[in-house]
Amino acid sequence: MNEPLYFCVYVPEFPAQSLLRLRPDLAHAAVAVLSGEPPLQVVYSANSHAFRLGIALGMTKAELDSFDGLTLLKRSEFEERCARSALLEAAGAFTPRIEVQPTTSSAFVMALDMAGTARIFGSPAQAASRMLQVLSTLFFFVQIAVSCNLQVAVCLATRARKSPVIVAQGEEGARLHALPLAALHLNTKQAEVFELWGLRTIGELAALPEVELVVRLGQEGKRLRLLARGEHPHLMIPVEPVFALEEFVAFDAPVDLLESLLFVLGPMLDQLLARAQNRAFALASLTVKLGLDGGGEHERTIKPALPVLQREVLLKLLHLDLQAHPPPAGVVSLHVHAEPGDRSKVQLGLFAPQLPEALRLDVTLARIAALVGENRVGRARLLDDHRPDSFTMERFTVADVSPAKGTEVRHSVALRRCRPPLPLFVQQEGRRFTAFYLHGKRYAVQEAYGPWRRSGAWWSSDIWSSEEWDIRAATQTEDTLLCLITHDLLHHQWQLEALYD
Amino acid sequence: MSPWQALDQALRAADLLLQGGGFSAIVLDLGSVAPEFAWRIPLATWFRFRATCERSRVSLLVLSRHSCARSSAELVVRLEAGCMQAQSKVMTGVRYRAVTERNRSEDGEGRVVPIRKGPQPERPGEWFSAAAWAQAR
Repeated sequence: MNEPLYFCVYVPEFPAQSLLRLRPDLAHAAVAVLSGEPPLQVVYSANSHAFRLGIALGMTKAELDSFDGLTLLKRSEFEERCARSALLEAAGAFTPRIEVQPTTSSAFVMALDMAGTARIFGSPAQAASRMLQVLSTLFFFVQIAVSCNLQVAVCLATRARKSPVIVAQGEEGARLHALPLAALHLNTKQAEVFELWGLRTIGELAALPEVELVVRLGQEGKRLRLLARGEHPHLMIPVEPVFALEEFVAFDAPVDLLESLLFVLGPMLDQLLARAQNRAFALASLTVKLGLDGGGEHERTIKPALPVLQREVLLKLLHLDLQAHPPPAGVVSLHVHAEPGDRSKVQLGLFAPQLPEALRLDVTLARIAALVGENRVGRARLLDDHRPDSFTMERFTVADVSPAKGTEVRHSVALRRCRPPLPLFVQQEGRRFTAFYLHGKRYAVQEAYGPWRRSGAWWSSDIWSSEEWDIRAATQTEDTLLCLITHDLLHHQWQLEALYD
Repeated sequence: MSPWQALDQALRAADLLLQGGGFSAIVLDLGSVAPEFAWRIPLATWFRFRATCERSRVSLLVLSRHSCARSSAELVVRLEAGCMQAQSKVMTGVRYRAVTERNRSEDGEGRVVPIRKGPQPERPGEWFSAAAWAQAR
């Protein structure tokens, strides 16, 4: 049986950190987070630069006006939820047993049961430094304390500002000795009682006799004494984090410029990619929901040919997509949701034909779509219909089927469709064609095969009916034309439908 | 859309596909573009296409009514008007003829061994394309 080992990860000023991780441009600025309804907003959280300026929690907005160079952000619970799930996911790479601890401050605290992981992550000091490194890639500043007792780790994590605190087994009481009683999260009544008794530190509480304490404070007294001595047993109830790759940013004012949106999207993608990479995933699709000024939402989804981990590719695809489909109004919030996909490896054959690289092709196709229009790029697929020129465009993919060996390659007649069909003036002698006029030239019919009758959709308003001729015609200057001419029986129109190419 | 705009888009798209690389052949169909427009494509464009093709091992096949790539074309093939073939009153296919106007790979005695395999003739001169309804199933 492994010795119990608990890591407590303490994220100070969590509301400020959850906002700043997606705003790297504010990393060196003094930032205060306001909470509450205007005009009664007060400082709920702030970063270290702001505290150095003299900002204190609970300050009103009017008091903040006297500080120069202070950036004010509004508290966003959605962003905090995204940040919390990012933290839980990152911690999930170390252990599946994670418990979120209740706190009275604005910090986020989670306890990790790391028993039995020494052979994977090394000593507690090594594991703690690795954890710090992983969380710093997500732009979180955290404090870590390690102990065999969970409550000791939770109490000491608030003190681990410079480096992780590691408490050896049996030293729990000694390490807690000098801490103030507030570290035990006492309620108001308990705090008043201990103040009356003249107790200041945890060590003084731990030194009290158990029976006398229980007589005066009941079972709570026993619990507090065990906490103070670092002996309180804890039943861990692990949370099961849902793996959801999503990020959210709300803006103070509507944003109109696409470049500004991409500037914010970049760090969001970084976060999503880092989280997907932690689980050995790539991003299979990316959905961007833009909250619009005045209500409404603009949603775009991009789906690369293969799950991608390259930030540049995703950002370029998003850029081209948003350029082709710009939001109809200013953007006030940005919600990005990604679907994870397996990282794919494509093994190419030594003698296989040259194929375009899937990700590069995606970007090229997106560029062409931005140039010529989305519905004009792709692969044409014939519809199950006899109506002339009935086809649809579908997404272009590189077919991986090669023609079977030994099959004879057949040459088929190719038709070059005229879009739209060209109207003709036709000369007839009875049922026989003699000539037609096209672009001011007279073409004498030399060979005519037909008519072939076709019709369809007689059950609907899209009814069509026509006769077709395969014609070989020539002008007086011997300009020969092989073409397909149709006669629309419903509208009595002659048209040049296609040329035999 | 004006013909110039359509032509510009086609050339830009071809440029992007050539730059992207990975394809063995790219077909640029200018068959519906009037010769007076196709002739005005700058020579610099064709030269750039040629350079990209050589660099990325792509064959660019340009279909046009008149030869417009001029000196940048490696091979120029002129297709003559086809001749319809018929069985009783049914058109069964078209017989085509083609003439090679210029083939740079055969010009002169090359002392440099080319990296790429030269164009190989397939059914030179004349061939028959069957209509879909006349092909044996």
